[in-house]
Amino acid sequence: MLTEPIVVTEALAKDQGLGGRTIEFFEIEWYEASKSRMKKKTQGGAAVLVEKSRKDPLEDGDLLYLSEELAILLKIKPCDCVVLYPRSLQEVGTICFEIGNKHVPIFITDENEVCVAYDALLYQLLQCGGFEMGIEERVLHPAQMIKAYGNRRQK
Amino acid sequence: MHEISIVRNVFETLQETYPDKFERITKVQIEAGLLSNIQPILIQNAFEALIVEEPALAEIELEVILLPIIAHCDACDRDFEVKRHKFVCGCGTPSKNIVQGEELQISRIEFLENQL
Repeated sequence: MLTEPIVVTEALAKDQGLGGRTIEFFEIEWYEASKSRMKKKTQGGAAVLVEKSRKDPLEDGDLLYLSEELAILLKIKPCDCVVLYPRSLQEVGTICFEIGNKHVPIFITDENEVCVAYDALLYQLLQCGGFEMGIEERVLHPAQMIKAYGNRRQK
Repeated sequence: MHEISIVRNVFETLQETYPDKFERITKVQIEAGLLSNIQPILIQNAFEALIVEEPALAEIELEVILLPIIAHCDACDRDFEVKRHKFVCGCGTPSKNIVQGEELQISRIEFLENQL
């Protein structure tokens, strides 16, 4: 039997209690957070169609759906990341310049680490620069992505 | 860094291949091997930019699936996954015999059903 998917146009307010409800996760890859349209099933089998009405990316932990029985939360899957630990502001600039030349998004964590999704060629390039770095599994949060314009943390 | 032209090419190919059904496409899945030099985030961003140019595409979901690198080990005659570009089988034998990872292909298309 075909059932209509749950349609989500934006994340719901986060201050709502989930007590007593079944919690299911709508899992996406880090690079899908800005997609305006995507359809997937939760691990519990609920079909969800995201049709965003705004350009803002979704964030890990966003509440997508809430009923009396069910709450659906967004989960961004962790991925291999190159994590760099800059020793100076100048090094931050150099790292961001090198990564920016590849046009891939850069994430700066609350601990001032620079994160980028693992890419072998980029990793080798950065290794040549002598930066302090490693490969770690992390969640890349859209709110930590630096932008060419209008950098600001989203609440 | 050629993602915009790749996305354009994908939709031009689909228009040529399905001239009568193109408007019923709801989802396009692209498989990109880790050796294809394709950044999925740039594919997604390029598609979002293309939607601004061609709003009719907004009804389509573009999904990028990253394929891991698989190589074949001649010593133990088995395929193994290459993790973090270490082309060495579990048995310790290096191999550059790539079985999967260089692809860039349209792997699946979904159409709107029950439309006359």
